[in-house]
Amino acid sequence: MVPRGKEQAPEQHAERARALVARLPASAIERLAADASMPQWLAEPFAVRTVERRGDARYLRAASSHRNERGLWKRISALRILCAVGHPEAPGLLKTALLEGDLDLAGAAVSLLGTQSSREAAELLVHALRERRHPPSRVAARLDRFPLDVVDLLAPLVRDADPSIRYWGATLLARYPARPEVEAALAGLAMDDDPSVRKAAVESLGVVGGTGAAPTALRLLGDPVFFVRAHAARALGDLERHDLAPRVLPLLADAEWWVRTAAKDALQAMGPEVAAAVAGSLDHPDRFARNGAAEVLQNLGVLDEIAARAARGDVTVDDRALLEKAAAAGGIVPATGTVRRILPAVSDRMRTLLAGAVARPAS
Amino acid sequence: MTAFLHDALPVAVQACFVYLALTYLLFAVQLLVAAVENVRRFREERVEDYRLLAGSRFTIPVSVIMPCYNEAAVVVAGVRSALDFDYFEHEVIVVNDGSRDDTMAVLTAAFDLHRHQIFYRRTMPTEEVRGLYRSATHPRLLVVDKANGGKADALNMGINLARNRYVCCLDGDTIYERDALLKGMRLAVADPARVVGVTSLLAVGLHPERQGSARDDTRRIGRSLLINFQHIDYLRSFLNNRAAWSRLDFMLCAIGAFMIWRRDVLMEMGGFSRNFTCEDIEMTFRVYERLLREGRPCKVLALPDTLATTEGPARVSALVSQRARWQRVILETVWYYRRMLFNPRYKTVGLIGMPFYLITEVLAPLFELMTVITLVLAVLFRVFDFTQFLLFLAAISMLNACFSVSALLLQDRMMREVQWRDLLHLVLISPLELILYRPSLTYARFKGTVDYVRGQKGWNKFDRNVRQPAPPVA
Repeated sequence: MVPRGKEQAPEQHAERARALVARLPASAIERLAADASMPQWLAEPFAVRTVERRGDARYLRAASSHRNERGLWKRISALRILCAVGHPEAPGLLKTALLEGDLDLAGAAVSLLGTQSSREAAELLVHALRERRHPPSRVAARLDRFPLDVVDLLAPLVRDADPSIRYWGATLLARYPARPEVEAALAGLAMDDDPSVRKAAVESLGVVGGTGAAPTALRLLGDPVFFVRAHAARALGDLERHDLAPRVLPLLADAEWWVRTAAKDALQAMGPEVAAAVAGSLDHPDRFARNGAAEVLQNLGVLDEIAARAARGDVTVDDRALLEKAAAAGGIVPATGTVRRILPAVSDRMRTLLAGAVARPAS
Repeated sequence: MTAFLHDALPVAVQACFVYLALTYLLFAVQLLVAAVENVRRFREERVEDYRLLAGSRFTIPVSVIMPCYNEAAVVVAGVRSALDFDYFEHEVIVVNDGSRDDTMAVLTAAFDLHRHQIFYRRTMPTEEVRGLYRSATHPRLLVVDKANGGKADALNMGINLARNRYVCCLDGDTIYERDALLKGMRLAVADPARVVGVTSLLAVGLHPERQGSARDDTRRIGRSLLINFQHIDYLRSFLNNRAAWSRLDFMLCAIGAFMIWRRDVLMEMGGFSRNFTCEDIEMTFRVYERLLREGRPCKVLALPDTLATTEGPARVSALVSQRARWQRVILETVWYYRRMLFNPRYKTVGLIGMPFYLITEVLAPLFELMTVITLVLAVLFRVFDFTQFLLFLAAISMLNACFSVSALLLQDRMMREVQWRDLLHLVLISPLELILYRPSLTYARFKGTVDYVRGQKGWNKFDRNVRQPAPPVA
């Protein structure tokens, strides 16, 4: 088993690694140094030891080319060892590996480039994203966690002719909310011809925020493509703009299920401040909108709160009306659930009152 | 009559030899292909960065669906294991399929369930839903209580509620490893356009909730021979067979206890079918049939990693009942999709996979029975003597053991998942498999064939293995 490195000081890690290196045979050390599941604190001393013992020429040779599948995996192991020791030739070898065209090799190169703290590595990852050397989501995951600020390398992606590249540009820019140029770039992409780009832009705007985010998201609530509308609603939820809840409410009656679901999620994300606005939708002529509003009120805990107030004896006429409407709009379940939850706490009179509110729509 | 038998028996014995030789040759070729595939997956594993995959916002979200029927003894441990998946974003939808035991009560008590109103798309028709429940302690958990409609119906209910692009279908009586979803989804994330389904190896245990995990070095293999033989059987099935099928693009059986599917594919297929005894193998056949017929990209892959431990029957009668059901569904499915047989449009599925199923699964019970009868008669009528018979039996036992030991060693080479004492125990009992375990399977397969001919469709779920009584539910 791999010793766990959690909750230990770096010197303790080093001590444990040295103890392991001294005990293990050379072949095991080499194997462990090349294993991606090894934590960095363990992989590095293993790699250093293995290169000390066997010399770097052997690994440089293995990392530069391969003839068959066995050679391919040896090459990947050698690349990993050279990267772990920070060998000066590692970046060049990774570049060759990335550009060679073999999917497994490119995947390993992408993985290792993501751990390098050099600008050249970031450039290569952006290149891999453009050239589709590896599944784009894997390359994007590396760029999303790249140790350096690479916003200037990502910015050109949003002007690419290929919409899938613009999509990734818009998605990855969400990592840089403090940069003023990011919000402007995303606002521009929100008007893109390609719906997936508009979706990515509004999703990122929900994370980035800024003055232009909410107006852009509001505009996209009326987008002809359903998934753009859904993500625009979610973006407003992420921005926690409860003042804009009335603009999201009409989406509870959208023709697409995804949009209705996104609208419910967004309203819940905005917080309990939206309760009054949502309660207004309990009278909506559309059944989906009434259902959705009842579900949101239930999930926000509004119905439970009324029930708790009822238990204390300070239920108002409005509370009672809201409970009745929710029961009528959302079916019997939210109200019965509420009664069941507070049952031990309520007086007989209140229980009768709540049961009456529940029973009326059911009958 | 006796003269006829004297003339006919040598011919029958030769026919049995030919069948056995052909079968073992196929298994040997399969083992070679599987070894290449397993080594490849093992190497991939060594270079994969799971930490990144687990934490990346670009890892595709998954809806985990766990149908359960009378699983009160294990369901809480199973649901907990699914909730504990080390994954960036997943929801767990547990569908109580009209259990008659305390399944719903133990779930309610363990996860503090409260009834909620959730409006969802009834894309696929299912039996009546009695209630939807959210957990006060686990926001990712959604529990559906519905009238009994079978596993396919329960899975369709889960698909109706699933919100993510991939669904992972699990079993309520199985305990999953923390990295199960991550490992399964790795292949889907790498090539989402082509990989539509993923399945993986399971370990078999008497009480999976107490079995421990290979990941933290606590897995124990018990000493129940029946469970041990089933464990070896699963290993062979995945490491020797499915790995090869995966490599050759005809992975024709994703197992019900762990199958990941792209949701759009399941929706397009109209969900799981209630017209077959089991849903898993039929869905795999249906996906291949449809996508290959339409010339669309399609890959269903099997992983060699042990991602879970499932409960195996501890009694022979229960094992027979389970395996008879499996045989029945194989016959139902192969017959229903017989148009793929030898049809080049279906590529390796039609040209290799289906014929392989025909020889090693559909016809196997008949040949196995014929072989047993022929050999007994051959001894009785002195076509060969008893010593020769025993030598023949020993040879077949050892050959059989070779395949079992190959699977054990393949797994041990990739990752030691059991302690060496347990490994040694499994190796040593391998030669006994032919005598102590295979006859039950032969009988089960024959029974399954007879049941199929009679048109039986029942699930015949085996009774849970005996456990200490659980404390009463509050």
